[in-house]
Amino acid sequence: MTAQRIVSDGGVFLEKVRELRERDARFITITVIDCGDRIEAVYHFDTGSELVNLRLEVPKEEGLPSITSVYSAAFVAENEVQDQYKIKVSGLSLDLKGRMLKSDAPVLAVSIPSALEGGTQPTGRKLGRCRESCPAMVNVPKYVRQIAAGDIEGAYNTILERAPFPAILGRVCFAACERGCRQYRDERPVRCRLLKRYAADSLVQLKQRRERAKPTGKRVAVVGGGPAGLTAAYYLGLLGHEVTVFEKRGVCGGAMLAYIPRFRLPQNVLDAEIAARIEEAGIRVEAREVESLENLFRQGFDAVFVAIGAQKGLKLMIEGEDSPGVYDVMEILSEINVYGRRPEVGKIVAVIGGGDGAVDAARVCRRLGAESVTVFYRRSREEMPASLDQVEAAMAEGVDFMCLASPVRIIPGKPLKVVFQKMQLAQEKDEKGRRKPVPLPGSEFTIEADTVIRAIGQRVDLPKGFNLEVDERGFVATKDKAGATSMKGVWAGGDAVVRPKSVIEGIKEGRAAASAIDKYLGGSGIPEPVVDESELVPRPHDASEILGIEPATPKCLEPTVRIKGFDEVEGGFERDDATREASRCWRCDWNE
Amino acid sequence: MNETEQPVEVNTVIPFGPQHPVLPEPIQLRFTIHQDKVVGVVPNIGYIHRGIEKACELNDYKKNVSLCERVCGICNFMHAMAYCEAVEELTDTEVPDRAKYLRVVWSELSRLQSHLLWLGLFADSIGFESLFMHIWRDREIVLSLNEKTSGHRIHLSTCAIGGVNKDMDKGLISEYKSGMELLERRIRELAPVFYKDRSVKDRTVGKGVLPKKRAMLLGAVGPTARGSGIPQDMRRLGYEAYSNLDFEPVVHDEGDVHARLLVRLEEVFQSIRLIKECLEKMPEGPVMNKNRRFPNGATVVRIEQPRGELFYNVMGNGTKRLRRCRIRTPTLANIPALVDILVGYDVSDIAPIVMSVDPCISCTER
Amino acid sequence: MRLVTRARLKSPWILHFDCGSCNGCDIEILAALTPKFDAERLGVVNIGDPKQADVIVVTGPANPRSARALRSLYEQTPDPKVVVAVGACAATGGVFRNCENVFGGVDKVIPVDVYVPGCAARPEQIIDGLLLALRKLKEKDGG
Repeated sequence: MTAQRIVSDGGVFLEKVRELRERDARFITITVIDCGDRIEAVYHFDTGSELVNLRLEVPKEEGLPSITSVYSAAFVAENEVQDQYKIKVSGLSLDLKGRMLKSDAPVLAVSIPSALEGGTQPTGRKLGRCRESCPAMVNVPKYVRQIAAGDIEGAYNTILERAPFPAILGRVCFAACERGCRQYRDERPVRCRLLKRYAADSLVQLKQRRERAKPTGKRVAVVGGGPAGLTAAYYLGLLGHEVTVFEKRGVCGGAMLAYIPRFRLPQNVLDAEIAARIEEAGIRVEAREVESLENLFRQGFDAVFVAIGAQKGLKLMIEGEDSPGVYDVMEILSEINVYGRRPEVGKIVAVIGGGDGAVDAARVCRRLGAESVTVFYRRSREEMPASLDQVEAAMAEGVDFMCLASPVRIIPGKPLKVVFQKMQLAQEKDEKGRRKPVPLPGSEFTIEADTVIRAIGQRVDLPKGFNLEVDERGFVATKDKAGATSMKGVWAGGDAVVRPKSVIEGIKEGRAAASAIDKYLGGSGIPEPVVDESELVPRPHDASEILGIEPATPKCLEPTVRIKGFDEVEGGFERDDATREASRCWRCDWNE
Repeated sequence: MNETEQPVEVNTVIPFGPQHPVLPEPIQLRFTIHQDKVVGVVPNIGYIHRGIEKACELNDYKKNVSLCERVCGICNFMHAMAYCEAVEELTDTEVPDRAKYLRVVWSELSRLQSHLLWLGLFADSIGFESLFMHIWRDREIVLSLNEKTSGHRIHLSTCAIGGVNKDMDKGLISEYKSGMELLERRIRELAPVFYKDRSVKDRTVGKGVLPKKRAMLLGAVGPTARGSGIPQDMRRLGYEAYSNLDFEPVVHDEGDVHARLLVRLEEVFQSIRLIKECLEKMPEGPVMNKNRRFPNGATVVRIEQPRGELFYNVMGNGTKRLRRCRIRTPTLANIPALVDILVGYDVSDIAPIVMSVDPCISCTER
Repeated sequence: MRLVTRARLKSPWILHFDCGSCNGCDIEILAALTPKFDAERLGVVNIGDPKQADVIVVTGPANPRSARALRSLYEQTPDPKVVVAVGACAATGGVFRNCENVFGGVDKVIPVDVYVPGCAARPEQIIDGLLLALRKLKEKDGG
């Protein structure tokens, strides 16, 4: 193929095209090749005896010059180029504005097709995006479908296969499934979390009892009764092992108990669910602190799962941090949750940090009578790790947020004075891909506060006698995904490993460790549910039936009411709402 | 002159399609009508756009044969052949002689099928339904030959990279010969209708005139160009076995709908003759040379489809995926001409004029 | 059986719409109506007007623009109506399932009653599908 090469000079190019026109050449078409920021367009002409190719290279933003002034027939090819490569062809005689081949508007405002357009191409079967997004891989599509069909018990069991606390998760989970939902793009995901809550709540009366396997005679110790520890204990108990949970508080729940405020997770729900699981799996709970793992083995335990959580709050490393009136977020939260006290926080509270803990603390302070609560975060709103729902709820309750501000020092006194510095985001990114905040010089400002709450992260407080290898930040080092540690027969999981995380991630690690421990003890691991072909119910005949269903929204307490106490803020679904919401699912898991 | 006598200067916009009795496929043409005369046309396509060019870059290059075949169901063999020719050139694969002849036979069979289909649909568009039925009955001869060849009436799927994947035995060759004889006899019976019948001539002669100069400028191809007196025929490039065959492009000079109609009708006889000639001249030997290389470089293939010049620009990069596969189909090249020839004619002439360029929307939009 | 129902079943009027096929199935649908297969002897009439149609015959995978046209045709067709999806790509997207502008079978857009397989579907199959569709039409019409 011979091609005369002309690089990015519109004038010369059009001159060549005119010459060809003089020679009675016929315009054939344009081939465009995408070379990143540049495009290469080859114009093909037929002079009757030979094929002539003109090559034009231009930057993408510049676009191509139109040759319709010379060859009016080129408008078809040029419109096509505009369509396919989203580049501008200037001077087109009949400009269809990139709408020749592809549609100008979506078929429906919300449609299955429009969601499919941007997604990966469907291949085979199919976990469903919601399930893929869930850290614990809960079979979301299945339980949503079961709820739609009215099979609440089945839905509950489906959840239990993967996660033992449906009622708790239905309230506190950060719901990666909803973010994975194809309808999330249209801001109306199927509310999987609330459906889970509905399934659990409507079964409160019904005793769920799963069969325990034959006793194996093996004994497993679980250190820490938080989400990860209880999950491991539950699945190990079901597999027939004799499990003892060592919980220094005496009451199980861990972070769910201590750090999640009661207005998000009521005490009775928490207690009932944990008690049910403990009973179901025959778990023994011992209220004592474990000092050495060797001791446990000496006492006759065959394996140990360490899930002690991360309870040491990180310090700000600034002057005046130890002044009275400066608290750690976990102190405040566990004061209320575990011991039932109402600490005095005064009228003005400053919370430092941007995670869920910070937001929870701020909301709690509003309920404790603080009139002005402000959350200070050193990055911008986009980087804030707290979930959007929580931030919105907090704002509705009158919590202020101030981003790009970092404390410099705290001056003791009554009230405390906190000196902040304004920050800006640098271009370079840290290891997590977030833009680094750097101080803005000369931008210090001072605020007064009765209480300062620190919520910038946690570290593990590993007892000396554990003798486990730790990583550079003090978390327990693990060797594989199941959480095997440096010591034989010891697994670790939950907040004590890698970083503090959410409840569902703790559950995932607890389950993985339980499976590994079972294999270590001679079992075959937790049986994985097999895909049942009967799950493949027929397709809905009319997509519009599904599209027409309006999303259900549960009732929430009014902000003015809810700050008066610790009542649960969010309401659950009623039966009709839940069925309707569940029917909204597009069944991506078998439709794709 | 008082106000009531002034001509009404109001233009009406009529959408033609996407669903229209005349069109087997959806395309929308928005006509601006002034007093029953067409004064402007805006084509609005995209109802069948699937994105095959893009899919060709994502697939294994060997799988593209069946995808390209389905760019268009009518001239499917030619699409597969054009793609195979391009890949063969990029991988230096030599096609055996017998395969070359077989490819010509089957592509001429496609042309026959396509032209007969069009003659029928055209008869339907001018309201001549019995002619439509007659021609479609005769077209079944071609389809049954297709079926005897590969077991399928529409998609032959016989073309493969390196040759063809089906051979013809003596029995099949004689069936082809007798089939062609029968078809020729049947069409000869019907041909006078197209030449002489008044109801056909009334609707076609002098309608949709495309002068030679204009046709060249608008880049018209195939029967649309040949109906305007341009002797343009890609088969004369001599691809496959065409260099060994004896033929001249069918050309009519009038440039109207009737001329395009006659070009296609006469090409039916030409194709029948070419098939017979091929079957006579076909050498013995293998039909397939295996290719084990990945396509590298770039090439352009132009072949003559029933509707005109089919253009494939295939670029490989030495891997199993192509860098680019550009397909320019004849109908796309004929759209400027179509838009041009509609202007100035009555609304009632729209259907035959649109049909006269034989729009294949499936090809156009890929 | 009501007289109207009976008339409808004796002579179903079909509306053919191509929403992105390669043409193979379309010409086979026409072939099914023309002399060799002659579905017209069964009273089947191809009609261009959705308002008079009983059976909608759809070919090809749906793409955004044709889906809009198809929906509108479906809505214009009076009840009772049945939809026949002809060809592999009308059922699932077929060979075009990986193409960027295609979102699969026509059942993503309108409800489909009968799927006719094949690429392209043969006229015999299409006639068979039509007969099946008539049975469904009878059910829908309360016959």
